[in-house]
Amino acid sequence: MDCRKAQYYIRQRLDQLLSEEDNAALEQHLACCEACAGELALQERLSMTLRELGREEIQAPAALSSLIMNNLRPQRRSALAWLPAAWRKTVAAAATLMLLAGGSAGVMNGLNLAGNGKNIVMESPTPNVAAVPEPGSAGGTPAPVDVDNNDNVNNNDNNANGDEANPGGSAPGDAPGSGTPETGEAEKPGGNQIDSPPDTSQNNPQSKNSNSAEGDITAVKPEGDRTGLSAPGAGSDRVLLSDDMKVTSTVLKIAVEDLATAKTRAASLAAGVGAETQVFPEQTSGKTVLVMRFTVDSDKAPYLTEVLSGLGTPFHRQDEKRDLLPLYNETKVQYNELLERRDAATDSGERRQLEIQASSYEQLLEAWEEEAGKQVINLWLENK
Amino acid sequence: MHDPKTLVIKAQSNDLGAFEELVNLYQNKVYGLCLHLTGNPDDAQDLAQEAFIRAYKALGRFRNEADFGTWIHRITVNVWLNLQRKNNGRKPVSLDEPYPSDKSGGLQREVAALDGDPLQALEEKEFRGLVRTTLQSLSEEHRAVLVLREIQGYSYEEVSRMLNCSLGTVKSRLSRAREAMRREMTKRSREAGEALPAAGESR
Repeated sequence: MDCRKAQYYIRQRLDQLLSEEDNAALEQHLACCEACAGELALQERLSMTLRELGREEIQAPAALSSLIMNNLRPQRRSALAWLPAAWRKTVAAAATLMLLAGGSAGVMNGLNLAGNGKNIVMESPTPNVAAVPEPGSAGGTPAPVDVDNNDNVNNNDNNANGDEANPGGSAPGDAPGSGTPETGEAEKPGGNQIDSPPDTSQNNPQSKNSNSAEGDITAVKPEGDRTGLSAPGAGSDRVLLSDDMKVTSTVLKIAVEDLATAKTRAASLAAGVGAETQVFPEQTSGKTVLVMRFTVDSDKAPYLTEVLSGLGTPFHRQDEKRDLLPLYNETKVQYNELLERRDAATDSGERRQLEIQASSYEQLLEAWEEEAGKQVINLWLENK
Repeated sequence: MHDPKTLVIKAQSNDLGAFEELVNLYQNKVYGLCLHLTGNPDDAQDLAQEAFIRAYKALGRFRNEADFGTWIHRITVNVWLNLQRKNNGRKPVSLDEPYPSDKSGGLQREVAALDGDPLQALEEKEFRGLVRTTLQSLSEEHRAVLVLREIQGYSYEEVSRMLNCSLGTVKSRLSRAREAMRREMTKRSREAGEALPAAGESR
């Protein structure tokens, strides 16, 4: 045999695939071919060394186990444990924005109490909060949640890692006035919009990047009254890594002659470019202020901002870009976890609880998916 | 100490304590594979963490007749492969095509030219070190089959299942991986050591 054949046989031999006959033939060649003999010896040595490497006792680092379990376990047990970290960060971020924009307590409160439309970012996690509860009795600020939000802003500003539970007061962005979100939710008659989806067998796709099937998700209505958690399949179809989730926010403050007229005009201008409008309750504290929030396609945003400015005398403007991607991904991971835990849950009470939680995440994710690529204009109108 | 099968069943019902025990039972095994694949402790730790987390999430689909260790190894290597592909930003070149240079003549010439093969002269420790470093220079596909088959000792069938490719592919890939190792080791050894004694000389 020639060396080429020998080389082939050598490979076979290394994998223990050589018949006795072929092995004998190989040996014959090796006896008189130093090169090939050397080659075999080398390869055998390589195999042996690799196997030795495998026999080494390797110790995992001590920290590994706790790193893993911390990741899998919920962070802290508190009344707020159920509130996704992403929520707290988001609400804080939004609240911060409004603060920066010169938001007074009134504005922040207004934004938080809004219960309609798709203002998920600042809405309570239970989207069915259609009714705006009475402002609380706290002094100048219309609702206790206001204070909480301030606390929350401060806390989260200090927290490098959004996973910390919010130590202050009630959950931010919660149904205002309710101190314990969990019980509040459970007691609300018809407040839970989730109908148990038919029990599907555990068919969660691997959480590796699956394809987006956003078409499936649109079944959920944008209004506060959402029915039905998406089936596990649909939920897990979300793309884990969206390409881009940048949102631009503009805050525009205008002084106008007449609030009502300005409001009507603004609304129709927005409608004209296909923007969605959201109006917050008027706030009066010294001045009467009306805040409107428009969500518009990015390419129409400059125009809309222009024409809105024309409604009166602008006295403040601020633009901000936010990248939702880290937040989105983090939320999505938690959402998928919730779905899988839900599917694995044997206790129906626990199952329901997990469904509720997962649903709120889902809405958040959807809201962000909508927001990405759009621009938000926060219009603040006040009397001259 | 619970037996793994019981722990798995519990963990599948969301018993995190049971899963933690599984982690403790299998972490050395998993970390070991990670270290061989990544070549350094930091990446190995990250990979091990990721593997266990994925395993937990995928527990629902684990059939308890299978071996948990093999299963989580499978997850580990696939997580790693995906990560490599993503980071390298390229589609893996089909490594199952013959090397251009893998023609009979070329190899024969090379074999014939191995006069004073530097590798033969290396001592155990040096040889082993060279194997380690060269392993890291291989492509991910080559490294994966070599690690799984030679280091971890999985059978061809097991490797083909873990990597989701045919038996034939595993064999040919392994062959190529060995050739690649040999080639690269020779090259490095030549480059590193004119100082290496010729075969037969005592040191």
